Amino acid sequence: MKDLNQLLRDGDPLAREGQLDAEDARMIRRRVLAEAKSQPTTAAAWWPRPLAVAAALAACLLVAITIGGRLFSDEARVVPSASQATPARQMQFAAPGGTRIIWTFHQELDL
Amino acid sequence: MPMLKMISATTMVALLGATVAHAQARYNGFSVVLLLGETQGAAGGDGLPPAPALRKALADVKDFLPYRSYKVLDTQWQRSGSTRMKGFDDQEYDVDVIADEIVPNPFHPKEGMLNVIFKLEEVGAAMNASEEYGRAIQVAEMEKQRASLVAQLPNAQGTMLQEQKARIERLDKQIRLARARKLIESKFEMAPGETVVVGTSKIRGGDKGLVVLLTAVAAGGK
Repeated sequence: MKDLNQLLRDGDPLAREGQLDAEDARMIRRRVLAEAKSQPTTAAAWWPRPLAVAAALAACLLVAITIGGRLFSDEARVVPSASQATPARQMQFAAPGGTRIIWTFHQELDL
Repeated sequence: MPMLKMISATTMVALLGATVAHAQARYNGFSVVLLLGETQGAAGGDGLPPAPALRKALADVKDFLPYRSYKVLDTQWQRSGSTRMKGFDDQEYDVDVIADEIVPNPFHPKEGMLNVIFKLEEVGAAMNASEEYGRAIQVAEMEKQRASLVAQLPNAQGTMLQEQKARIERLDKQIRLARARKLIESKFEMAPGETVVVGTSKIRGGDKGLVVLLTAVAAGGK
């Protein structure tokens, strides 16, 4: 009784085909080799990609650090006041001793 | 089953630890000291609260502010929410302190930091620009009435004079109420124990300024 492997081998159409002619085989090989030589190497195309990604990440980090540094800087900075009916200016800065001052200026203020 | 108990116990311990850490970092309330800074008068700060943190904060900022003397107008202890404080010349102020504890994260790794919204406004301040505009018209009208009464004062005598003075006084109060405005609305972060100096003054000149020493008092009383 034939098993599945035997049945597959018997049904394979390639088994009934003749061998490839030696000259044809050499021609095909030459053509494949020629095509392979004419293509650029894949390594050259592959390497710039992670480098570009790394450069983009580094640029993002640099931008984030710069923005963060400016936002959380202890140096004097002027911030716009919260919306108010009366126009007012607000200023935040830190004294050398570390105490923070948040000052609101009003156009007209009589105390 | 023992594995499940183990996981439950570990979770409970972690939660307990987190709760204890959170409770330890919590602030107890805010000390609000309202000062009047004046460019005139003798230098000094007589009557200032004796708390060293407040004195240090004021000493730190003195060089940055144009005032020669500081007078304590009112002092309040506030957990969170709104309070009324006495100001200069019978003026009263509504003070709001809203605080939320910041959950530690990679951007705010420090525990116990607070997001604070501080508001100070004259009692009866207009809620918006249109209300403020309407009040400005009322004020103009009341000022005309006042000027007219003041002009009639030299001719008034006896009870008439007293009545006119009383009317002027009433108008002054009404004008002040109609002119009430929001003075400070600031958002900032604070650490427990830190004192932040919040203040307001006229943009150019002005010989007086309101200075608030706001201290977030930690649970330990620091």
